[in-house]
Amino acid sequence: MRLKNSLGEQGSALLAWIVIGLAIMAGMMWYSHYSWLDRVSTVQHISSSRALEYADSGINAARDRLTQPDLGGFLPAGTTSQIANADAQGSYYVSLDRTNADTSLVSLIATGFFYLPKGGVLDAVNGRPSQGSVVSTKLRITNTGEYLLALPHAMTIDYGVDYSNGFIYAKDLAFQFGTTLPRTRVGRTFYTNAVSLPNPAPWVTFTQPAPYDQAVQLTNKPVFPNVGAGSSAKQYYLDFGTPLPGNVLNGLQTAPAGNIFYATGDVQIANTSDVIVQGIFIVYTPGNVHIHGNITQQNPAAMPPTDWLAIIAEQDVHIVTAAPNNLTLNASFVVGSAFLSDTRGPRGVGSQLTINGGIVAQTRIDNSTGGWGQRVYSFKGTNDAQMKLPNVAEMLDYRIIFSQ
Amino acid sequence: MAIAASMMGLLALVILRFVPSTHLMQKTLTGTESFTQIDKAADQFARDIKQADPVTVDLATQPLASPTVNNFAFQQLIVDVNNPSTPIRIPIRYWTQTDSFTNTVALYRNVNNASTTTLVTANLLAPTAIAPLVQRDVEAVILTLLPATPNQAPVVRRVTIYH
Repeated sequence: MRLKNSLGEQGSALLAWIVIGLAIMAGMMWYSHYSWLDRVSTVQHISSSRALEYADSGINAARDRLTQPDLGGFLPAGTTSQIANADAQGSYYVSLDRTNADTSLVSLIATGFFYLPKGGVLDAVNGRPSQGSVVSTKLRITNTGEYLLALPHAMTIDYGVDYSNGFIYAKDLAFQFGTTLPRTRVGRTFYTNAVSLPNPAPWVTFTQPAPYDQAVQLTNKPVFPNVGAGSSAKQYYLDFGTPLPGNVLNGLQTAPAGNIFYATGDVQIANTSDVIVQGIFIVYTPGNVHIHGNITQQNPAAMPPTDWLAIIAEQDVHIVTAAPNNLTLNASFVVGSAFLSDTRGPRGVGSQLTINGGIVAQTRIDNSTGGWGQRVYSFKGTNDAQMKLPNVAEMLDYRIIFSQ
Repeated sequence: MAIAASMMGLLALVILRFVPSTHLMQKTLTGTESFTQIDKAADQFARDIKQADPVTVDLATQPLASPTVNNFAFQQLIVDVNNPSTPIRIPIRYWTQTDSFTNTVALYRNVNNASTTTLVTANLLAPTAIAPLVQRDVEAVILTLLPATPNQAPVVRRVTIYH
């Protein structure tokens, strides 16, 4: 009987051990489960962020592609195209749609995948489980040849200039104050960061109807094309260009096959005689351009122009100090760095720099140091398909459609 | 008998040690859930700002760097390719509201001036001068949510507003 009781007490103790042990184990499992859920939540957060980064990478890749010179070949109006890329951790797929209604607009849908063994979606091509994000955006593509002046930095518009037939962009735009006539005249002017106040400035005549009756703030900073070392644009000009003999341009110059001249170093323009352009073509250089004389067209009256020159310099464009006191440049310029008149003293009354064309520069446009009595800029250009200039891309909206 | 009593005593000690730990565990779990909620709220806030028209994310006119201001508004754009000159503008507004009973702060969100608003997350501390709800970097916005649960780190997001 005593033995039986003793076994009963031991049995109770064992039972108590088991119950308490189970309770502790349950608690630990509960805690472990919550910790696991927290980890899962953290992993989901990180991986969905990474998927969004892949989608953004797709948007950026598409935008870079659209700034390249052959937009018409890559994405003709009214067509769609795709861009895709993948690495060990994820991938992106971008569909591009260029409307007929407004050929400057391109709609992008970018899908980013970040590979995750237990991800909730499958990569569209390789079927790998992933976290996914979908982004929709619209871009406005503007050919660099369409600008009168464009600069992704600060620009001051001198008082009294007439820029009414072209459009102008600068990150920060300032209109110099003045009171004498004629007043400053501008067409469409755009900025992203700041504009001199008041806007519209009362001493400036805005020639275009609303909303262009003042400087217009853009939603996002336009992305300027990269024409420098390693850029796709440079490769394009290398692939399709004809070598420029002696890296000089003088006298009557006809368009080469492919409408592109490719120089190997600094280019001298009109260093022996004024350049007369026949046909439509581009001169690309990985170095600087030095302008010594006039650039004119063989048939200047033709509209649209049948003769037009565009100069693309990876570095600077310099108007040399020895250039004539009345200098006319009928050309479009896309400059990787600055467009400058080399510094010299006053050229005297009646001296004038006339640029009929456009300048898109990455760092600076400054002809105030060239000693010119007057500087006159007027837009001219061509949208001929043979003129393969790069583009500027501006993002109009950005929507996250899905992000898991 | 003596062995059983000793074991029971030992067990009691073990259980007594777990009583406060269980309480601590519960607090930890609550904190974890709260943190996840705040984390998700910060994600939503960040995504809203990422989709905003950068021009409208103007802290010069909405100085939330000051903790006394608890209202942050901006607009998102949707461009129709058939009518690009008049994009649809969707106003988004975030604001904080203090619960005087718990002395914590809740974050609310309103989209397109709708009559209903969403409670994004609660159980926050009021923004401070050192950690304002929103502050502006050169081209980015930094969001800071301060969990009211003790010993929890602030939830911070940095969102580039120019694409």
